Parts: sequence; structure tokens; C-alpha cells
Amino acid sequence: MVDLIAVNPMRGAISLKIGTVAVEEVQTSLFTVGVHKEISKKLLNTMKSVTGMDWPNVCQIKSKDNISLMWFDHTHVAIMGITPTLQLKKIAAVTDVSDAWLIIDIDGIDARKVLSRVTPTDMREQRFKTGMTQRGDLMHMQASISCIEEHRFRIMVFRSMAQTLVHELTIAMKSVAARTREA
Amino acid sequence: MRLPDKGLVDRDHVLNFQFNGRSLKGFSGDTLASALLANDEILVGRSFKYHRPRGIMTSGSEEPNALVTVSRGQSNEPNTRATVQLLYEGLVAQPQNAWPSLKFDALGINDYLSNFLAAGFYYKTFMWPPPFWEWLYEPLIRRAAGLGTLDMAYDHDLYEKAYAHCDVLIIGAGPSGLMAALTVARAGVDVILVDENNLLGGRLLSEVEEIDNVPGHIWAADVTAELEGLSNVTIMTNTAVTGAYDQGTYGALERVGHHLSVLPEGLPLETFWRISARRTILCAGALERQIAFPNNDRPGIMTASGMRSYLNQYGVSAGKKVAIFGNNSDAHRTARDFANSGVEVVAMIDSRPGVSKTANYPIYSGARVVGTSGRLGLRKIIIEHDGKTKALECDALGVSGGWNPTVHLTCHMNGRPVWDPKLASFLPKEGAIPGMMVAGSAAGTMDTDGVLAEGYEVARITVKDLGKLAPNINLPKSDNSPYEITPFWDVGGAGRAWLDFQNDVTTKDIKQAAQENFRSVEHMKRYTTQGMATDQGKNSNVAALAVLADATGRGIPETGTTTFRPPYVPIAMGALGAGGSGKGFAPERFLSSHMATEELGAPMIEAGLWYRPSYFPQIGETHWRQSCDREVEMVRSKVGVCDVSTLGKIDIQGKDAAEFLDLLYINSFASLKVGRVRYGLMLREDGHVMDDGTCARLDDNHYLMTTTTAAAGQVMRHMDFVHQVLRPDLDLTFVSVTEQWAQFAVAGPNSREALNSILVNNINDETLPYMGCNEVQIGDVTGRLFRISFSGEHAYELAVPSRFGDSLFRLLLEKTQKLGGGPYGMEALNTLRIEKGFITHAEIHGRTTAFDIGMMRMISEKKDCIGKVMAARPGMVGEHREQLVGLRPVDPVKEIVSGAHLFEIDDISERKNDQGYVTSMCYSPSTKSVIAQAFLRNGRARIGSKVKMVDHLNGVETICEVCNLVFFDPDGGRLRG
Repeated sequence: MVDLIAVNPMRGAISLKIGTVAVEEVQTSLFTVGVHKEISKKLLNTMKSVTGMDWPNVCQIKSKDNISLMWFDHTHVAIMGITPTLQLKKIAAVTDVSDAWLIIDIDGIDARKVLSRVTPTDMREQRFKTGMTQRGDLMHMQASISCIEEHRFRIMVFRSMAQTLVHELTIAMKSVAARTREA
Repeated sequence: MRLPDKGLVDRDHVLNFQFNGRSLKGFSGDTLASALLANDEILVGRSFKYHRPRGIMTSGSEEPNALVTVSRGQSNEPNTRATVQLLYEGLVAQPQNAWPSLKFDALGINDYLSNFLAAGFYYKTFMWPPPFWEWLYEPLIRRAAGLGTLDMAYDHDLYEKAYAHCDVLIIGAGPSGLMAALTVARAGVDVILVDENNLLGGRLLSEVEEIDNVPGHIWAADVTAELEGLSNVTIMTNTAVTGAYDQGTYGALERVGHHLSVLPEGLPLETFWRISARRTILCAGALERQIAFPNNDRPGIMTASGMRSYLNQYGVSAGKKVAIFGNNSDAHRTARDFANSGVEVVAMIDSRPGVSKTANYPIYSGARVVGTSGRLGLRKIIIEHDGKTKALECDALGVSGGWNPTVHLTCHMNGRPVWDPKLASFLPKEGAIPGMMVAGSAAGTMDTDGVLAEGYEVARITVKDLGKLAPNINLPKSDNSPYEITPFWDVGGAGRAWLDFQNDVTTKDIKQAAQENFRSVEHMKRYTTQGMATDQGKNSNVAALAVLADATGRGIPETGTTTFRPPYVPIAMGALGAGGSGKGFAPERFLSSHMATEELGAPMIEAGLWYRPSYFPQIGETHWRQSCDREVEMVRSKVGVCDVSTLGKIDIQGKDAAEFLDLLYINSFASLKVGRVRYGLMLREDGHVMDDGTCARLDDNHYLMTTTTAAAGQVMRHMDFVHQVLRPDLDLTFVSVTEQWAQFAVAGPNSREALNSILVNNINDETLPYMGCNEVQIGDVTGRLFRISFSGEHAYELAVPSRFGDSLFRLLLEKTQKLGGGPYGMEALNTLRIEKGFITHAEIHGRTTAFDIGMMRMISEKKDCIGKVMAARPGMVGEHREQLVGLRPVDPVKEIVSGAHLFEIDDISERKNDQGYVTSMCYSPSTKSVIAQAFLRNGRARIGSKVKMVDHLNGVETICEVCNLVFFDPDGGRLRG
């Protein structure tokens, strides 16, 4: 019997702490739910029954009982934490992308300062509030950036760019930490 | 010299530093310039062209003279302005552009030859003989002229880029900027306040005046303290806004680590900010200008305001006996402050007649400075007063030709400033930058009282504009003395009078330019280099165009200004390119098999951002061709494994998916059966080929498209456009799954045997025929298996979720090696596909059509598709088109070169006879010959004929036989078998 072994992109879970900011890899399932033509009432109800949550608004991320629902683009919502049921697959295009994306959480009082060095996204507290998600650039990477707590962000980039992400974040984290020490 | 009990420096904190090899002392809070003056270091550099001795001229970022090289560890920073370099313990600075020493500079001889070196001399002198320019004249001139020298070693300093956002950006923290910031901040609006200095206050730090009965700098400190306590305020010191761009975006350079002896790990030297602001208030103040008079460039001659700054902010007198020369009321402040500080003021020379003031120093009204002396430092000035000349001994002269509002940023989007005759200055044009308002001296208001009121008023307008309530603040009371000026630009007379100190441009040069008909200000600028130095003419442009206006008999408004462009201050290339070095320049995408591939010692080749194995060398193989040939033979005879995960993969679902694909591809996909795969070609709207690949039908309404590695993003973008714009009515949705799947080609006669050794359920021709696809089990893992081939062999592509990619690759290596096989890389993959006549983006490079590559008949007549009509245009088909064919050398030992061009054998090998070009080539181990793919005019009809291949770059010429594109197994028996 063949036994394939699962490994994460850097062969070991990413864990990094510099200054006040820590980065941890998130191990979770990730499915996109594609809307065929329109968000039907049936789809809304099914999503609610599957996840316990309403369909997210544009740029919204919400969580309940370790399940997250995240607006992903104009026709997709991402589900983290569970495998969608057949019921949902019948009325929407459900695609497993758990292995397509590297997911990390960046956490700490200076997390916004770190992210301001790698993304043009407006990271101000009053603009990028808890429960908000955006698709945007993160250095050379196309990223999904979500604020899941006041100082905690969930970042997703293509799996193949794990090393590049860690490299860029390390530089930014060191810079912010050095400034904090200097101040 | 340092005066006791004056200035804002911390005298309890002594700092040691070196300049020109000498050990000196300064205080915390000093700039390098103030510390040099405190140590009576008047001579700090040599000028650009004439190597004239030069001293510090200003106290700000506009400094043209005091450029030094600062050494930090192994790195040297040339052209550092001593006026903005904060002093730190152990700072080491060297003068520039002087040899063998600052006091005796051999190239000072240029000064004696100045009659021959006037503007334009090199355009006229170095024309003959022409070859001399490149190897003699230019190197000589470059050696003689110049500023600092770049360190040729790798720059280890860190530079950073960062982004900031705000509702209101306030540029400049002088009185108007602070008042505006206070108003905006109290309204609760999110504000960023930026200033180039390390302390907020602007001119308030340099003046002796009170605001609300406290010294100006104390008022500034109080306001700063309040702003620092507000969460909606971000203060950025040591930061210069360098440019204004579209949609409220500003560039700003922060000097982060320049004031530190040792940079802590990770701290950048500089950060280049992109600031995005809904509104901007420009409070950049004004810059004092010089007056042109003979020998006005001697060390010790400064701007009057600069002299005042050193006195009041740093407690430093620029000399023991000082004189002031001005054309305006503000110049008198300098004389007053020096006299009150106990420094001897030998003269206040005011060019305006009828100025009557009482002072304890001589005031000469209606007078002018007509000459100076002192080679390495000012010793004496000659003044003309009441028709008589008089020599006055002094070692410092402050000059004020009036103030130029700092309008630069308002001109960055093509706004032209407006001349104000009363102020004798250019003022910003209203609305020149959308969203920006200007307040204070930058808007032409010169008294502190007016400046504060204007900062407050503009801020209120801005706050209301943002829909917020503007707070009422009692305006502080301060000096409201009017600023009075009578324009006076050029004293005239014999001797050279400098305008642009950095580029050594004199009034004579400007007049000569006018005489030689370079009358336009833009032509004059380029002819004389006026304003083209690192200070960008901040000190000299207005005076220069006044001289030009006079020389051409026009007024200043008609003469106009040159264009102010970003950056406002010099920016290190490292800061501009921050984030773009190392991996920031070349980000990496790694395959799941990357580590295993590296363990096998495979050299990597970059494909886009992907790192893919070029070949897998074995012991004894010393050349890539040996490995490549072995790998090709291995695939043809046994089995090979290759990671093909980089191919784009797009998951398409919906009841209209088939119709959508039929619109995208030239061939039909609606007719594709479930469980089958088909090769497809898609065109751009202009009829040229966009991409090719296979598409599998996984279910009735579920397809999986593959794209080439290079065009994965382009195809996804194209599909989004087609769906959202052309056919939004279609019921489907799609998502990229490129990275979800690790996919491996298993190719060769033993490929099925290898796969059956790992699959739970064996496959055969019935369960998985050629161009079939199935879900398969590898242990507990569900994968997808496609029977497709890019090698021409019996082959498969096996896909599993990426987390299992590493494990599967290692497993496939183990199984294939038992069957005499192993891994193969990009070189072998390329050879295999050329042998079979398959194409890549070397062939579908954006200028070729389906007709060109021989796939015209694939365009379905039964349906429409994107690009179909355009591809059928007369110019896109026919004998005149270059068509894809195979090539092989008639003499087997001859080479074929990719990119080489094709000609008729008897034709001269020149452009007009061009018949086509080679796109791909390889040595084919299977046919024991060099083979190639090429586009040849009317090529398909010329199969069997001979052409001449010429590589003009390398001088290679080969007679080739035009042949069928498919060199190996033309009937495809191995593929299907």
C-alpha cells in the first residue's frame, strides 16, 4: 500500500516572531464557492445551514465555531474550516483549493506597520477593521488580506511563493522592530 | 564660532566627529554644517567646474555648496548635504571634488582658464576630430568635473519602501503647517504632518520672535506635544515630500538611519513612502535667494536667513565680523539678531534707497556690494554707496535677494506658477494639484501673524470639505511686520557673479546664452546647465530668469520658468528601488518537488518566476548535453518523470461552460465526452494565437482547462473579460486551481507499468484510453490521471493535491528507476517536443496565426469563436505568410541557431531578402541530427527544398533542408499505443 505523506510548503510549519509581531501558518481546509449566475435565495439558505452564517458582504470575513466565511471576489466566497456538503455542491461551484494557498496569521501590536511595508492596502485601524477582507498586492504576490482581530491579520498567497512571503515579511518585521527599539 | 547661551542644541551632550581628517566636536542637535561653522571650518568643498573654494551657503535641503562624503563602516555616501546631515558620535566626513587637498586643489587651474570654459565651450571645442570625444575628451571632462564618487562596492545598506494613507497630508511643519495640523487634528480628521527637519517649527526655530508671548520655538514645541498626544495624528520628521502624483499620491523620502553611528539590524537607512491623501495642505514655506555680484561665491558668503538660523537655532556665528546685504526688510532681522548677540556687524547694506532705521551698526541705504576678496574665505567686501566705493573687513556676509515661495510641488502635474510683481516671486497656481491647497509663505504670505491665520483658514476649508466640523481656535498673536522688497537681481560690473553655485553658472553665461539666441528659458537652461544640479536651481532659478529677461528685453512673466519636476530633494537610487533587490527583484515560485530536485543536484532554470529543473546530471556527465541526451533516450526507451505543475489550471463549472469554451477555443468542446481530454487553441480578438493547452471534461458541466506556464495569468484575465464583458449572460463560474495540484508527466513505454505500481486500481487501454482522464487513488489520496503526451510517447500526467507533491515525486522516481527510468528536466522536455513538432510560446509568440502554425483547419466552421473573423482577413492567410516548418542541416555537423534568419541560397543575406527565422532548435538523439522549427515564407509548399540559415550575430551560415515539422514517429503510433 502506497502512503503519500503530506508536507507543507516549507516542509515545516512557518513560525516567526520578531519584535512584537508573530507569524504562524494556519492549517485549515479552504474551498471556494462559485456563484453560477446569481446569489439565489436557495444558495443563501443552504450556506446558512452549512456554515451557520449568512452569505458575506463584499470585503467581509466572518467566523463562527472555527468556520470562516470570506468574500473572495465578485463571484466567489471562500469557506475555511469545513468541507462543504453535497447539498451546497449541487447549487454552486465548490472547488477545493486547500493546497493552492499558503495561509498565515500575522499578529501583534505592530502588525499593521509591518503590512504597510509590503502592501499598498490602507492598513489604518479605522479603515481596515476587524471583519474586513481585501484582495491586493503583497510585494510581488497577489494576496488575500483579512483583519480577523484588531491586530491580527490572515494572509493568503500562492503556495509556491511561501519562501518569498516569509522573506518579505521578515525584512519588514525586522525594520519595524528596529524602529520600535530606536524609538 | 559657537556663542555662549544661544541656540537649541544640547550642550551637555558633546559629539566627536571628523571632517577632512581633523577631529572636531559638536553638540547633539547640530547638523554637520552647524558643527563645522562652530569649529570655524569655513571652507568645505570645491565647485563643480572651476573648482572654486566654497563654504556653506544655506541651512536647509536646498544647499548647493556643502556636499560631502559621509563614511559609515564600509559604505560611503557621496553628495550628502552637510545642512541636513544630523551630527552623531563618530561621524566621518570628507570633502569632495578636490585633489590633492581641499586647500590646494590642482584643478583649481580651471578657474584661471575660465575665459575659455564659458557656457557651451565643450559643445564648440570638442567637436574634432570626432573619435577623440569618446576616448579622450569625455573621460577627461568627467574626471575634471563632478561631485562625489560612487562607491563601487556592493551597497549593504537597507532601503525600504512603505505605504501610508491619511485624510489630510500637511507638508511642512512651520507656523502655518503646525496651525493647520492643529486645526485639522482637533476636528478629528486623520492627518499626517511631514517635515524635512528633525524638529517641528520651521523658521520659528531660527527666528527671535514671540507667539502668544512665548518664544516661537516654545510655541512650536507646545503644539508638537499636543499633536503627539492625538491618535489621529502621525508626525513624520526627517521626511521630505519629493513629488506629487495622480489621485492624491505623494512620494516622500524619510531619512531613517542617517543620524545613527551604527544602524541596528534591520533598520533601513532610508524609507521611500507612497502617501495617499484625500486632501493636502502645502505649507512648505519659502527659500531665500541670492543677489548676483562679483565674486559672490567665496566661503563665508551665505544667505542671510541661513546665517540667522545658525545663530538662533544652533548658537553659531558664521563669522567674527559680519555684514548683511539685502533688498528687503527681512534682511535687517539678521543684522539685528547678530548685533543683539554681541557679534560685530560691520554693515547692513540695503539696495533700497531711502531706508531709514536706527541701529547700533552702520546701515547703508541705496548701497550695493560690488566686490569681495579672500581666496579660501571671505576677508573683505567692497561696497558702493553714494557714488563712492568703500572696503569693509568682514569674514561673513549674509545676502538676501528676497524670498521664493516653495511652489515646486504645485508644479509637478504641469501647473505653472504665477508671477507676483509685488512680492517679486512666483506664487502657486490655484488648483494646480487636485485636492491640494497652499498656505503660509508657500502661498506668498510672509509675516508670521498672517501665516498662522492662513494655516488655520485653509485647514478649516479642508475640514469642511471633508464633511467634518471645523473647530474654532483663538488665533495666537505674533509679529505682523510687513515684508517689503524692491527687486534687485544683479549688481553688474566686472568679474564673475554666480547664480547657480553648484553648476558654476554665472550671469555672464546667461547673457551669452541670450546672445547666441538661446532665448527661451528652457533652451538657456540646457545650454548653460543653470538649475540642473542636485539643488535643481532652488537657489538660483528666479534670479537667472530675471537676468535672462533683462538680457532679452522681456519681463519675467513673459520669460517664464523652467518646469519643476520630481524629486524635490535628491533621492538615493537605493531608496527609489527599495524592495527591488535580491529576492525582491526576482521573487521565487517553487514546485512541490523543489527540494527533491535540489537533492538530485539539478541546475534550475527560471520560467517566469518558477524554478524548474534544467536537467538531472549523473556521475560522469560533465556537459548538459550529455544529461539531456540521456534523459531523452530514457523517455523514448523506458520511462521518465517530469514536474509539470507550472501549467495553468482553471476549474470551470456551470451549465453554460461548454458554450463558453466554444467561444474561447477555435475548436469545439461542447462535443467532448465526459472523461475525455482535447487539445485546444485560443485566439486573441485580433486573430493571433493567444495560447494552447488541453481541456478535460470532468463532468457534464465541469471542465478543467490547462494553459501554458507563461500565459496562465493572461488566459485567466482573458476569460474574466469574456465572461464579464462579452457574455455575462452565460451561467458559469471559474477559479484558478494551478497551485492546488502537483502534476507530473510520466512518459515512455514503461509509463503505465510505473503508474500501476502505485495506483490502487490498475489502468489499461480500456479504462484509460489515449486522451482519457479519470479520478484515481494513490493510497488514501485521490488524484487525477490524464493520458496526454507532450513527448510523443505513451504518457500520462498524474495530479495530486500539492501537499502530496513532494512525496509523489519521490515515489515516482523510485518506481521509474526500477524500470530503468528517472527524472527529466526542461532541456529534455524541449527536445522531446521539438522531435514531435509540438509548439511552445517560442512559436506562438504573439505574432503568429493558426494558419501560420498549420492549425487553420482546427477552426471550427460550425461555431463562432473569439478571433475567428479577424484570423480570416486576407493578410492573415496565404502564401506570403511565414509558416511553421521543420529544418535540418544538410551537413549533419553544421549548427542551427535559434533566432537566425532564413534566405534563399543564392540571395544576399540582408533584410529585404528575409524569408523567415528559426524559433527552436535542439540536437535530436532520436534522429541523430540537429533539428529545428522555423517560420518560412510559404514554408509548407517548400518542404524538400533548401534554404540558407544565417546568424548575423555569430557569423554562422548553414544550408538547411526544409522538412516536415514532425521528425519522430510521424504517424503517432507510440503516442496512442
